[in-house]
This record gives sequence, structure tokens and C-alpha cells, in this order.
Amino acid sequence: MKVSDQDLIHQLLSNDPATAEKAWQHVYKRYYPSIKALVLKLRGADQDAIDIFQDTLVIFHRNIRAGAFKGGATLKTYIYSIARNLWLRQYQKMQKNAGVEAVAYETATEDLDYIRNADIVSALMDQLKDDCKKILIEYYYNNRSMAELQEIFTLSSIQAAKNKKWRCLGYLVKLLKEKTEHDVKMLET
Amino acid sequence: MNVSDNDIEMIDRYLADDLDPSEKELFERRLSENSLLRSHLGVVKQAIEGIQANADRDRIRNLHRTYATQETTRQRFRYISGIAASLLILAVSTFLVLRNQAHKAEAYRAYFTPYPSPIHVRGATRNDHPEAIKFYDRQQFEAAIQAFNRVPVDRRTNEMKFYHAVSFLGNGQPAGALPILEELQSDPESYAEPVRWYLALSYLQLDQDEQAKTLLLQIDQGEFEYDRAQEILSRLR
Repeated sequence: MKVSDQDLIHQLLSNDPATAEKAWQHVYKRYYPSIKALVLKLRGADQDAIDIFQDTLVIFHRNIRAGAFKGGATLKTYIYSIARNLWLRQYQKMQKNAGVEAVAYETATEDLDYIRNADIVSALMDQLKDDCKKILIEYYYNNRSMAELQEIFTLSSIQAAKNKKWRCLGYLVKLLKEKTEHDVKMLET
Repeated sequence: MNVSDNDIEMIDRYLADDLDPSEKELFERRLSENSLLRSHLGVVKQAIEGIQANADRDRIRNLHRTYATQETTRQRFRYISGIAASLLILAVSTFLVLRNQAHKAEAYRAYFTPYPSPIHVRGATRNDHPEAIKFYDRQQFEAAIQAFNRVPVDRRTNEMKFYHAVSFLGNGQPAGALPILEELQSDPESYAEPVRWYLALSYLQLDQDEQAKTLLLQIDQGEFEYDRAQEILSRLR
């Protein structure tokens, strides 16, 4: 049975992990082939298609969480345009590096910043202890309640769960701040 | 200046819209006055967005791994199924061809009747003939073949060769009959008419229809097995 775009978005944002997972599977099966075809057609390789699709869905998820997808276009067109912009920007960068004059495309600076930030945070999260990483993902991504976190991490109280989460977030924020300050200093010198 | 635990807690609760109205008002006032706190708010947002983006990436990577594995398995299955289907088609085709040939050979075997034994043709007694001819006369074709085989090659007459070949046909062995009859065909004096007929039958049973047709067309009206030759020719047409 064909799921409507609005139903699919609703399922993707569901707090029920099984519903959300099923919806993501649906998105993958429905849209990956066309994105792969797009990237291959525009001189990309298989691995480029995988990377672009991954970042496309990261941006897409951010946008639907923020309510930025208004339904003016179909989901297919929307996802396709994110992927196209991402790939053309990357391809443009590669062409520039190869000394070929770049063609201007519609920019998606905000999207690129979001992806760049994801890369930075990914590296910093590797410095966190496993349970710290897990509690942050369970709370900020899987939308677990404090009571659920208390149970998952066998903590004595809900307050203990909150404290643990804040400690872990604080540590990540501290690392991120240090990294940003370090990058700014590097730029200045 | 580092971000304090208290700041983190307040920022996190503010972003989650978890502050009560008075706490929220106070926090927003602090935000408007304190640029460092505003900067902290930006970094916390960045951290949370980074957590979400990386969890998305992990999810999509896992999906890709799952479906790529499934696709590989499907491709392998399709490849193996393709080979299996080809082998099955080949086996069935071979079976059908062989069965068709067997049916055809069987059908042409029905046209076979042994050539009259020389014992009866010439009215002589059994004792005047070699042992092999005696077996042939009793239609014991396998024994006749064995007996003909025992006769040294240089002592085999054309008559013996002819009955040897017909014994092969009678025993359902056209491949045994074929070389003998082909040899006899080159000698027009020896059993010319029956050799044409039995050689045609051998060809037909060995699925060599064109050679058989050529021979059958050479059998003229009134000659040995003319009617049956015509019957087969119309069947071949």
C-alpha cells in the first residue's frame, strides 16, 4: 500500500522507535535508487551516492523536525533537490581542485554547515565514554523520557538520570567549545 | 570561561521548553544581557544537532548495510537460479530430444521385417549354412550377431555380411548395421535393393533423415519394400 508523504513524515517523527524505523526503511527503499542514479549520472561513484544519500537524509530529517518541509513539493522532489544540491556542490569543489572553472549552483550553506558540524561532533563524541554517548543519543535522538533513561542506565532516580545526561552534554559542549576556539585561533594565525 | 553545569542545565531545559514562566523570563533576561551565555546557547544547540545528525547517519548506514547485503544475496540467488534454470532447460531439452529420437527410432523399427533367410530362399537345408545363418533363420538375432562376429573377416561373404547387418537391425542396433550396409552398397551386385531399404531404415533410426530420404527415393516401383518406402517418404514430407 502506498503511504502518503504526510503520513510518512508523521511516522518518521514518531516517538515509537518501531514506527520510525519502519518509516526510515520505507524512505530508504523508495528514494535511494533515484538518488544513486542521479549521482552516477553526474559522474559520481557508488560510494559518493551512499555518502550523498546519507547526508541528504540527515538534512531532510533536520528540516522535517523543524517543520521546514511545507509540502509545496512532493517528498521525492524535495529529497531529490537536497541530494542534487549537495552533490553538485561537492562535484564543483572537486572540479575546482582539478583546476576546472566551477559552475554556480543554488547554495545550501545552512545545510553544509549542518553537515560540517555533524562531522566535528562525530569526532568529539568518540572522546566520550560509551554510556555518555548512549544517553545523549537515547534522549536527543530516540526521544526517551527521563524515566526510561533511569531504567536503561539502572540509575537510582529520575534526577540522577537528568544529572548524568547534563554531565555528558556538558562534557561534549566543553569539547566543542575548545575545538571552536582552537579553530578560530588557527584561522587568526 | 568554561560552561558551568548550571548553565548547561538551564540552557538544555530552555531548549526543551521545560522552564516554568518565571524561570523562562529570568533566563531570557540573562540571555539578552550576557553574550557569553548566548554563545553557550549556540554551542549547546550545535552539540545537540550534531548528536542528532550522527545518529541519523548511523541509522542510514545500518539501513544501507542491511539492504546492500539483501541485494547481494538477491543477486547471488538470481545468478544461481539463472544457472539452475539454464541447466534445467538444458536437461529437459536433452530429455525431450532423446525421447523424441527414441520415439522416432521406435517408430521406424516397426517397419523392420527380417529379410527371408537364405535357407528358405534357396530351399536348401539348414546343414548347408553356417551356424550364424541358422540362428538368423530362427530370428535369434543376438546369437546370430555373436556367431557372425566369430567368422574371420577374410572369410565373410557378402551374403554373411548382409545377414549380419540385418541381424543388427533385428536386434535394435542400427549403428552396428550401418557400416556393413554402407560397405555392401558399394557393390551393386550384392543385395542392392534390400541393402537400400535396410540402410534407409538404419539412417532413419539414427536420425539421419536426409540420407534415408535419398535412398528411399531410389527404390522404384516394384522393387523391394516400394510401398513402405513411399509411406515413409510421405511421412517425412
